[in-house]
Amino acid sequence: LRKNVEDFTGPRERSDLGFVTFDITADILNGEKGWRIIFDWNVKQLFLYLSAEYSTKNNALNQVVLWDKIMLRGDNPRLFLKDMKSKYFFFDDGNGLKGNRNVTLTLSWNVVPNAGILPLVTGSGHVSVPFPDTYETTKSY
Amino acid sequence: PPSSSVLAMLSLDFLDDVRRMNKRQLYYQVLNFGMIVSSALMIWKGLMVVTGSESPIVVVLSGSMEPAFHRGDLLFLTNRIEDPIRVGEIVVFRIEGREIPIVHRVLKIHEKQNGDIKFLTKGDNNAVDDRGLYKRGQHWLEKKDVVGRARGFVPYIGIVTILMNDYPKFKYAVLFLLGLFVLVHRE
Repeated sequence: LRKNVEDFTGPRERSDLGFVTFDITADILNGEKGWRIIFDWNVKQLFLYLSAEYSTKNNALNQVVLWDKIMLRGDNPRLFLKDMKSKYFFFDDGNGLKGNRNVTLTLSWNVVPNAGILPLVTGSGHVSVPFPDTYETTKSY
Repeated sequence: PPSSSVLAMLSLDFLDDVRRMNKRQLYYQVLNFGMIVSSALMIWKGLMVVTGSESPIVVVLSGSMEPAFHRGDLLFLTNRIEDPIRVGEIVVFRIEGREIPIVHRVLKIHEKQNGDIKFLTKGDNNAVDDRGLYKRGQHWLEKKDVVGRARGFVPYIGIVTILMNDYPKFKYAVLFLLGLFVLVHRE
């Protein structure tokens, strides 16, 4: 699992808005040594989501989903995404993104069976994204 | 066995049976019925305690979580305080003042040191998040709005409840047949 990111923040009224572009290279079927087949007969789909997790002065824990995708059984289990923009606005509850060095991006997925338990799995490998100390007003997204 | 009851009904023998049933047998059947209802209620209450949810089993009512869940699917919920709410989870929540539970996914959370959490949800099949669904002026959901988190599901089975809700005549027919079956059941 590899992600490359470029990011900056823009001032938006009272809350920081973060802009992140990323690449995702993932092989869902063969993520780890000894990983059993994840798309077995009882798996209808995987709901994949890329989430950012960080701490701020206002809130001890923040999690924001930046991007998601539904992968049906039969779809190509390998992801080669480049220069993706986040699907959802990355607003902080306050101004906690400016200068935040410890924003971690993780890829996770929800296994939806044909019937049965609905587990949430976190992929191995995560990327830390430091946000700059200043706001960016000139870049377009 | 059920098949003999059905045959008995068809040949109208059951009418004679009912007449022949003396008072004691009738009381016995009524008590039997009461026991079945009480056991069912106890199991339901037990489930409520074990899962921590006021409604441990819910039926999906809309298509806003397709293709994962469809109308009529049955969801099994837990609402244990030890399980913190995290993004990606499927939550069933109620908007203040409204009865209908909504099944969507958590998109954002902001949690304070003391555990107070506010979060935003969105249906997989919806283009936008749920802010438009919340009460006027409400921007976030809180723990108190949550009925439970979906931990497992079975497809299709809940269709019966939806049919009973949408077609009251069907509900009465089902209840009538059930009552008839219990009264006539010979075991």
